[in-house]
Amino acid sequence: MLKISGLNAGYGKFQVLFDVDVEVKKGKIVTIVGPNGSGKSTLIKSVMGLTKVYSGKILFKDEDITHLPTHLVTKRGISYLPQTGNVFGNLTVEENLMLAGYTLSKEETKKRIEETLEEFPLVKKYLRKKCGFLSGGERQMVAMAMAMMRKPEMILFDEPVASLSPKAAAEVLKKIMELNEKGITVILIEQAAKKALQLADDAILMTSGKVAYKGSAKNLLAHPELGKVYLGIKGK
Amino acid sequence: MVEPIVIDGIVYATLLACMTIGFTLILMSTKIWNFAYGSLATAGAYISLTAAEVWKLSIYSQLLTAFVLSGIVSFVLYRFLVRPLSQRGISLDGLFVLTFAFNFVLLGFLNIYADYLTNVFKLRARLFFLRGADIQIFGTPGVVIISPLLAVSIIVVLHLFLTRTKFGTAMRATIENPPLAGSVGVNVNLVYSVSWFLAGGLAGLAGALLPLWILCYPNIGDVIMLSVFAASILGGIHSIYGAVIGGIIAGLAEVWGTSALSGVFGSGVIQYRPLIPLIIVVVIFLTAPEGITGIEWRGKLTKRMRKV
Repeated sequence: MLKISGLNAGYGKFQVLFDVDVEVKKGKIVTIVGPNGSGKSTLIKSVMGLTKVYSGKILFKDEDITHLPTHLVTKRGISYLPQTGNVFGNLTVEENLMLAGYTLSKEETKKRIEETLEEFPLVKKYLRKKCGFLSGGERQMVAMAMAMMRKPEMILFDEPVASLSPKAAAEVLKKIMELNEKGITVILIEQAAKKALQLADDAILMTSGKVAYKGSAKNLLAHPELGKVYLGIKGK
Repeated sequence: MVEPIVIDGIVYATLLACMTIGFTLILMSTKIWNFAYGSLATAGAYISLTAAEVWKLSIYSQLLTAFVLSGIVSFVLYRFLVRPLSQRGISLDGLFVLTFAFNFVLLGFLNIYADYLTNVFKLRARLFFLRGADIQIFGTPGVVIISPLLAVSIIVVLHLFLTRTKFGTAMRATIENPPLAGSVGVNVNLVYSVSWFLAGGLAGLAGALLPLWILCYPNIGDVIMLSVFAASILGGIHSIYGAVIGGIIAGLAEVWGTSALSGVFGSGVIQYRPLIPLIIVVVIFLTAPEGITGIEWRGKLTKRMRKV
């Protein structure tokens, strides 16, 4: 579904990714793990057209999206939830949802909001509140609802449970699993590597802007050296 | 009978507010201090001169022309200079210098145009005043009524545009978080282009009314820019509504302050009028760097009431 080959990317003149090759299959949950500064976020930002790509190719459903601006990548069916600032704090929840349907017609947006609220009933409670006044968990739910408004085929999550309470984190991860069960391909970046790998089908381990491992998440969890050195996992 | 100095203050303050709204819009959306902004207003003033003296038309009939022309020049600056250079990674400082340089280009054109009007149409185009070309409304010069009306209309229309339309909401979203706006499908570059066009248009509109009340010349925009900077900083550079308040306070302070000081120290003080916006900037930076809209008034009032 998503094929990245020979990707060199970064910010301005500062290169972060070096010759990255990654393939994500339809319907899978793929977790990207690695130490801080290893290029995990840069990799998914590159897919969204938010970095400078020096060379390489990004194909989504066999279409080249390498240099597309962000709004056109979104139109192709990819939703992105950044680590921070994943909702518009100065807008109400309702305005956030309406904006998530920016590319849709007025009627379609209304219909999708109703559908999305059925799927995220908690969001209904604070529809008129400004997102800046919501808790971290509530904001994350709104962000996921926004992502679902566009009926994406793939969602890229950048540390969705970072700084959430254990209860809120569990709810968010449960929701991610539910979305995947509906056929949405998920790419998940997570610092809590063990937990995230347990959810995932496949895993990508990144170090210093390069892919150090790609394959089954179970194998990475069980790997005696990789997990220990890079992720602090002390075996089973 | 209203004192002429009161009318002076109201006309200048409302035109300054219109200009400050546009200047602040650019600052909020693309974080750029546009040093060429004043010359866009001057372009509006020259449209009025051309309309009144060459085309023999009412200045008010050509307000839209001034809006569109200045808007297009502002858009061109963004689309063909600012955007390509920022995509190449040029810093914000570099972009300030770019707008500064562009201002010299605009000034060059304005001077050439002034000479053209002087030589071909035998007009006084290097120093002009169009109060005689104004219409009268109930015995009052039109600009005295139209400039406050224009400022109020702009605020209302802009408020409705930003809060009631899809594109306006997208603009607010882009101002707050451009990458996220892009990832929900908003064409961020289109939002920036529209912001620059609207901002330039507002400068042209306000500039077109300037010669109806004050003496204009090719560099008038640069002189007014001092007041626009002060007004924007006073209002808090992150708020359109703050820009309106800042524009009105700075404009009134400039006109009424100069008048009051000249009453005390003599008419020699008038030439130091541009010092007033500079003093406003210094006072604001020292006391409330976030500007009027950045102050937590509710907290301050509560504290004050507790003390009382």
